[in-house]
Amino acid sequence: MAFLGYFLRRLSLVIPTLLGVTIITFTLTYVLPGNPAVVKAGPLVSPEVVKELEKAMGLDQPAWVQYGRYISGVLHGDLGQSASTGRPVLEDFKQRLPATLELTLASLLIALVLGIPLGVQSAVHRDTAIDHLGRIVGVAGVAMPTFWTGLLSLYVFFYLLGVAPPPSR
Amino acid sequence: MGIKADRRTFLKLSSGAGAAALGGLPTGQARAEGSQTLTLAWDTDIDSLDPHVFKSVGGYAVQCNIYDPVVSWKVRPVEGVVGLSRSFPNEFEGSIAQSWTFERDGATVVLKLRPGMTFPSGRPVNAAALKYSLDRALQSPGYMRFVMPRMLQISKPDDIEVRDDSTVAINMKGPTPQPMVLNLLSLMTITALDPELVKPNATEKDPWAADWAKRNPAGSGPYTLAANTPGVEVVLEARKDHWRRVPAFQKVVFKFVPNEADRVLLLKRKAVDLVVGRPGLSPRSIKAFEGDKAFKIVSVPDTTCHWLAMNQTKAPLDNVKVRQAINYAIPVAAIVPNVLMGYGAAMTSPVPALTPGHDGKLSPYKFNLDKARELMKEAGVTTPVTLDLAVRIGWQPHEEAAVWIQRELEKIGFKINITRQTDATFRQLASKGDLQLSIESWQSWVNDPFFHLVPLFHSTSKGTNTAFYANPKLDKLLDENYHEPNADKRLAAAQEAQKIVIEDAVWGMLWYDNWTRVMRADLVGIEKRWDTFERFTAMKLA
Repeated sequence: MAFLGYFLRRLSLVIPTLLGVTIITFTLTYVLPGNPAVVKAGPLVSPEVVKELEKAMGLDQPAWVQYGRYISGVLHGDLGQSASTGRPVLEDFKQRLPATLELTLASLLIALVLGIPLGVQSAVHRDTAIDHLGRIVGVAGVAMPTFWTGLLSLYVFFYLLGVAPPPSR
Repeated sequence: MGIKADRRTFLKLSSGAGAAALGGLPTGQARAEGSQTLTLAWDTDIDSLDPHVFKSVGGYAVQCNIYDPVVSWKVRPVEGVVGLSRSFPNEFEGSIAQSWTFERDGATVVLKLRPGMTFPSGRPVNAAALKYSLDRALQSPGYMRFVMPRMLQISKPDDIEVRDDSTVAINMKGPTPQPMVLNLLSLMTITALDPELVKPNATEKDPWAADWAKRNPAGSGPYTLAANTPGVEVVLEARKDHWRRVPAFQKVVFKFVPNEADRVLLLKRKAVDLVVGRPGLSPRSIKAFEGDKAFKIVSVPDTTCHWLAMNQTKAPLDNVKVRQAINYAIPVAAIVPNVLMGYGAAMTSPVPALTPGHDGKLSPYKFNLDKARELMKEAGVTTPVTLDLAVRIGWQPHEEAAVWIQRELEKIGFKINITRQTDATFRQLASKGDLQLSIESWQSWVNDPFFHLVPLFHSTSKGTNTAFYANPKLDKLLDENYHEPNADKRLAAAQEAQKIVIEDAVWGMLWYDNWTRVMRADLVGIEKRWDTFERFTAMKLA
């Protein structure tokens, strides 16, 4: 019963949290410079045309109206259209989610298969070579930024050894 | 026996057996797909395939191979560069229009269409299809409806006349220079769409099926779009019945590789045959392939200009002496070898060296700090002058050049803060006039001095006139000669315009880029046209 109460309390916090996230992301996007109408119109058109496009895209509306439209879309499963692919964002999201999950699960598996045994061995054999190895791997893993580890791994496993697939899906 | 090193296999092996298993895999798995498939790496998605809207580089690059232009920039082999042909000023050949004539002193262009030309559906590319497409360009929601009235002097469907099934006449408001007309008709944005494919997708709210055309091709080009998986790849397949030829590469695969270091690794490992796009590879990466016999670097001068934009609404950049001083302090002779690695040339005029009317002898500016200091003194400004110099994140040559410029400008009395912004932010701030100094670039697809000068220097060109320069004398000269049919008079006016712009030191003159591609050594049939996008019909392995 206590658990159910805890669960419901946590669940009730999800809605304000998600609302907070949408407000923060919307505000950040709104206040940062960069006008989608300018990008969409192209460089050779007049400011009047850009204004016309801003109106068509609803960018001339007050922020709270734009936010309302955004939230209404989100609640109806419409995340808008991607400026870079021209497709509904939800479609892009669905397409890319499996790759993200695949990569996340695979790296988690590697971490578990290598990390747990190494951790256990390090604890059992303190101050031995395996403990030092575990410490080095652990510290390096945390200290090195993932983009650097990624590039380094590609260089070694793809370019030098030729055992990993090319860096594209 | 080899194990195919695709991603799934790799993940399966790596997650199942752990890293130790990797040592057992065979090497050398990554290879571009075979002699009939061309594999490229690029860094862009396709935002739209509609010929009539402004779009990403990826959109244009694909469009150039799935559509045919009305007229085409002719290409000829470049002496001394094996396997490369390029376009030359004012040289054209037939495409959808097999031939053309001018009437009414150049105010009407009559297009005689190529007989027997078809869309992939088998339907003819005839006068009705071209008329529908030009009408669509003038009325659909893209940017062509704004561009065409200004440049081609047509504004309504009545201006496009079908004379018979294979003849279309474009009746312009007045005489227009013939090379200008043919240059505009060579743009891939003025093309033919299959009306029977487009029309069924139109709705009351969207009569030109703009929403459909964004993601669906309707062209007559040598390739068809077989697949478009954003973030992964785009696949084109060759048509067997295209009028030009059956391409040697039956399949062209564009691999989406956003990271430049990855593109370099893929090419070095020969997992791709060629890197395309803008920038594709930066000069430093290109340099890394020099001397490697497995690869070929193709590099020819181009019309892309890079300049230091000096916003004249911000003091003291409104002072011509200050702008002239800056031009004398730019160390472009050092920037070309050290930043561009030689893949470019110092700018000698705001009109590119390959553009008709260019005069490289008008500019007095050469690196001379004493002269620059003297001009600063004459300008009467109190030093140090603190200014921001904005560059775009990821534009490596701009970021590096900014440092060279900063160092020299600080020797003549400036204090320069380099600021780095994303593309969208940079563009927004520049168009609002919020930047002081910035490094800009521009490439005119129509290789014509007025097509180039008007957006960059006319006072009414908001957003592209990055200096916010306003000179009534120059405006008048540009307005009077934009459509001047007398070629000699027009070229003389172009020279006069350059003189004004150089004397007023509107730009801090930097460099012209080379068009440079790195590819496998046996790839030939590369064609470089004014719009810089590759066509794959002539490409093959030697």
